[in-house]
Order: sequence, then C-alpha cells, then structure tokens
Amino acid sequence: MLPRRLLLAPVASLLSASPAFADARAARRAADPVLPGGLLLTLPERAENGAQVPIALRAAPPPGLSVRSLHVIATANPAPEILDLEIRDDALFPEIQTRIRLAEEQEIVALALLSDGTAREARARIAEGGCL
Amino acid sequence: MNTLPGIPRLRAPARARAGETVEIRLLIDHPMDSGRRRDGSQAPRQMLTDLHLLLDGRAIARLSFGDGASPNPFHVFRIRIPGPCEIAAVWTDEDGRQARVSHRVFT
Repeated sequence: MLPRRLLLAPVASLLSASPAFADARAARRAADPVLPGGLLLTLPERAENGAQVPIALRAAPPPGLSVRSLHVIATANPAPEILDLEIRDDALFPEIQTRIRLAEEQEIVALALLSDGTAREARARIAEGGCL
Repeated sequence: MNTLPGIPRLRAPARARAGETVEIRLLIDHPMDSGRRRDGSQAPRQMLTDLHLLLDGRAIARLSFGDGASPNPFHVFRIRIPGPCEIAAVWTDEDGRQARVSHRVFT
C-alpha cells in the first residue's frame, strides 16, 4: 500500500478547477482514507472518436455502507471534471453509463465517496484512436 | 416547462414488479459546447449544468456536467422500483432553461 499522501496529492490538485465541483472537492479532501477496489471503471482501450467515448462506472460498497457520490476526472482534459453524480436515495444504483469527451491519450480517474467518509478510487488508461 | 429546444427522451419499462430493478435510458439533443477551440479561441458557451432524476416527485440524484460531457448527453441508470411510480428527469442549462420528461411504471 502506498503512503496516503502519494495517493491524495495528484487527485486533490486535479479537483481544483471549476466552481460547480466545489462540493466534490470538499468531500474529496475530507475523504480519509482513499482505498482501491470496490469501484469498477470500464472504458474502451482505444478511443475511436474522442468526442463520444463510452464509459461505465459501477460501485460495490461494502455491506452496511452506501455511496454518496460518484466522480469522473479526465486528467489531461483542459477542464478535467467530467461528471459528478450525487446519490440521494438508495433506490438508485451507484452506477452510471454515459459518453465523454477526451482531448488526448490519458488516464481517467473515478472516485466513489462512501457514507463512512472514505473514498474508493479506480483508474484506467485510454489510448488515442481515430480523429479527436 | 420545456424551454430548452432539445427533445428530452426517457426510456424505461412500462411494467415492472415492486422491488424489481429497471434500466432507465436518458437522451437529450444538446450541443454541449464548452466554447473551447483547438486553436485556443473561445466561442459562445452552450452547456447543460445538471440533470435531476425524480422518483414520484422526489429528487433521488443530481448529475452535474463538466466540460467533458459529450454532445447529445446519453445516460443509463438503474433504479429499484418501489411499486407503481413515476420516473422523471429534468435537465437545466447555464441560463436556467429546463427540459422535463416523465414516465409511468405500472406493476
């Protein structure tokens, strides 16, 4: 296991751009610790069309915990925040499928904030395919 | 209430048992143009800010869009149906204009 600072630092700096994401940033800073696992991020290996990249995110919280929010960050986009999903009722499954816009070959970071204040993180690399 | 020009669509089963999990597919026509151009110039912004999901009028989720959302936003969610219910979705843009669509599920 990496020292926590190493895991926290890059993501915390990525989450410091848009005011719409202030809640997510605050929640992310408060999340302690950030753990791997429990979050499945599915992306194609290669983007055929950078404007429409299919992405699926599914969280599997440990028994007794629920997912408060899901976040997706494209580390190399000019505006890295892709989406924030705030879950207010457990009728909704902690998952989402959508399409995102990616500027170039890069690493995608997904976060799930859980009801106990901890976070789960998943990362995936995507290569550039067709025209972007 | 549909003051956004794009047509909102919500696809979900018409019938489901209480406690059953159903898939909800959402689509709206929208350019989702952040205004950022490859040459560094700035065109007018045209973006949705968020999408609210409602179950019998109660907000169960809020999705906030970043600049990396694709044009004509498409989303798939799954919901556990409590019984006969109404599922609704409301999209809001940066000027506060909204589009709403709803769907009844019978048991």
